[in-house]
Amino acid sequence: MLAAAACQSPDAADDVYFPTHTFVDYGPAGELRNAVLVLDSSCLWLEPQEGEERFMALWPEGWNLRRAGDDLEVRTPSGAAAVVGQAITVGGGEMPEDYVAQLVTPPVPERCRGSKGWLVTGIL
Amino acid sequence: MTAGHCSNTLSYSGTSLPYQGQVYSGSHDEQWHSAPGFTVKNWAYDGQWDETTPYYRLVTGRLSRSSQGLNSFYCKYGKITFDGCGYLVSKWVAPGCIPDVQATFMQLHRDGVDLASGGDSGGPVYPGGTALGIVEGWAGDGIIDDLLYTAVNYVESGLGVTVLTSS
Repeated sequence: MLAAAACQSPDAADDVYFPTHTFVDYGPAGELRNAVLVLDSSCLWLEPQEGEERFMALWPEGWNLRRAGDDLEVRTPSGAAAVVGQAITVGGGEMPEDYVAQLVTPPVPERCRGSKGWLVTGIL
Repeated sequence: MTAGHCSNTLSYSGTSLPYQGQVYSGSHDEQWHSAPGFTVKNWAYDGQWDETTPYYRLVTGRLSRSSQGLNSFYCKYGKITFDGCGYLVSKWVAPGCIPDVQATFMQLHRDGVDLASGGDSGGPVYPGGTALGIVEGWAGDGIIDDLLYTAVNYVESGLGVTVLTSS
């Protein structure tokens, strides 16, 4: 127990499901504008402001989620990219719900299923 | 008409365009919307100003995938990277995030030129007034990227629509 605690980064957000994909040298060239990054049921969602259904966010390999004070930050290898609760515009594309599980690791937990995914390739 | 992986909510000049359907698998990445209240024309946005066809070009023909030649110099328009041109370097690309993908997607390349980025999807690909397809994706390092597109005959067959080539 002590060893596990010692290995965990103090700012890690391991309780939140953070799925990643490996499409880093190719991407669909779509865009999702002004979607609010929402934390619900320990899953991250992109909620468009035009009334469309929300998407489960699928992030590029190498990105992660960290706590920064009271904030939850999505971080790229070069630094913070987005804060949970804020609206962002992302590149990428919509993925069918039944296909999402084939695109990401770790496996999608039951609590995060039931929506289409948005394969994020970058924050615009 | 736009790419199948795009959001299903689309508007034009503030008016919502009702979603009609999409195909996102195999050789297909396309989606279409109707435009009630508008007159649909054989125009493709090209971002280029001229007095007779400002910011658009007339589409007067289309070329199927099999007739599009390797190393041909083709052009495109994308909302983010705007207008640009490149050489057709492959007709056999299989973008990995399309379900049951077939290697039928097309790739434009030009040394040192960023031809595609997030937000460009659905833009037209053409030489002159000939429709070749619509922008599907990008390939590269995420900075200077090639453009991938879905050939026009797959767009038409997938959706059961025809690209207008006359007014």
